[in-house]
Amino acid sequence: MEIRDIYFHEMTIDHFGAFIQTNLVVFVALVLLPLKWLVVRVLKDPEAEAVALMSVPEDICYVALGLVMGDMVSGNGAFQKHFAGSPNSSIDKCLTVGANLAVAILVHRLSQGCTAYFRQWRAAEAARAKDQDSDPRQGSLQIPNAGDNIKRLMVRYLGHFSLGYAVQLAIVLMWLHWVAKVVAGA
Amino acid sequence: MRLIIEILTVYAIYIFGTSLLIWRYGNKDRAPIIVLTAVLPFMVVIVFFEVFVRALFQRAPQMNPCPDGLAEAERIVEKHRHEMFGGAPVPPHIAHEWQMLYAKTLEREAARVQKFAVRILRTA
Repeated sequence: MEIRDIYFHEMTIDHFGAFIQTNLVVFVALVLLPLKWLVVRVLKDPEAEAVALMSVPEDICYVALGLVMGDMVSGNGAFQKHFAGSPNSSIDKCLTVGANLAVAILVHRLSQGCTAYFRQWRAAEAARAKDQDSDPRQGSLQIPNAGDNIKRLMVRYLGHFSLGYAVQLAIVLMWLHWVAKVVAGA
Repeated sequence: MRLIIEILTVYAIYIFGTSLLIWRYGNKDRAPIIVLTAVLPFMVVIVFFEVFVRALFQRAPQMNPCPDGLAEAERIVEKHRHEMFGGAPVPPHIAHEWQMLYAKTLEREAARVQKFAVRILRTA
């Protein structure tokens, strides 16, 4: 390996490190979701896999809270500098922690709804599989348009679940965006 | 630039999370369902625009009649959900809400026809 190659290699790592530092949201997304999924997948726990994937927005929320609290306990942190101009900096800092907790509560509430829709979708999947596997002569599901109606319900439940998941991610990453901006500005 | 990267990150997490869940827990038609879920955020944006345009021109949406057997299908799904996960029972409501919305559509249509008939009678 030539010296030039080593130099370029280090440059690439430095650039990547700088990019990750300035884009904390990308870093969290790269680390949290795939690693969490990988750990649960390796341990072969199918039910925990769903719980782990659906709790990712909440996890990101607590990552943001960790950043806020960690910065505040240090004497001259980024939030100290950010609220330096304010006459009520202590109240501002308390409000920041309170806002983070409010985001956590909101995301948890949305997550409860999402979990309910996800379960309904899985139940609809099971009902559809049973409907398709059953012998039509036995008439196990003697209701009109059973297959089409179950498909309709599946799409509805999945739509609600996906939308809730997307809203949770959007809320939590908007908050993390602001926290990361303050921390990066230190 | 940073905002675009972050929006793309949110979208990537969304696709990764939902695709994994559908792939792991879906039984049939997983690929089309994943594609449908991936395009859902764009559909929501389009729906928001549609709602805005409808509100601007004061045009209420038209509902089709509720499909036959939807309430029974809901009950079957609820039975499966209770068997699989337990918990408090969730009363079926989708078919009922659909019927109510369809009834409102019919009321609006009837009012429109009545208004038109009155106008015709006045001119006659």
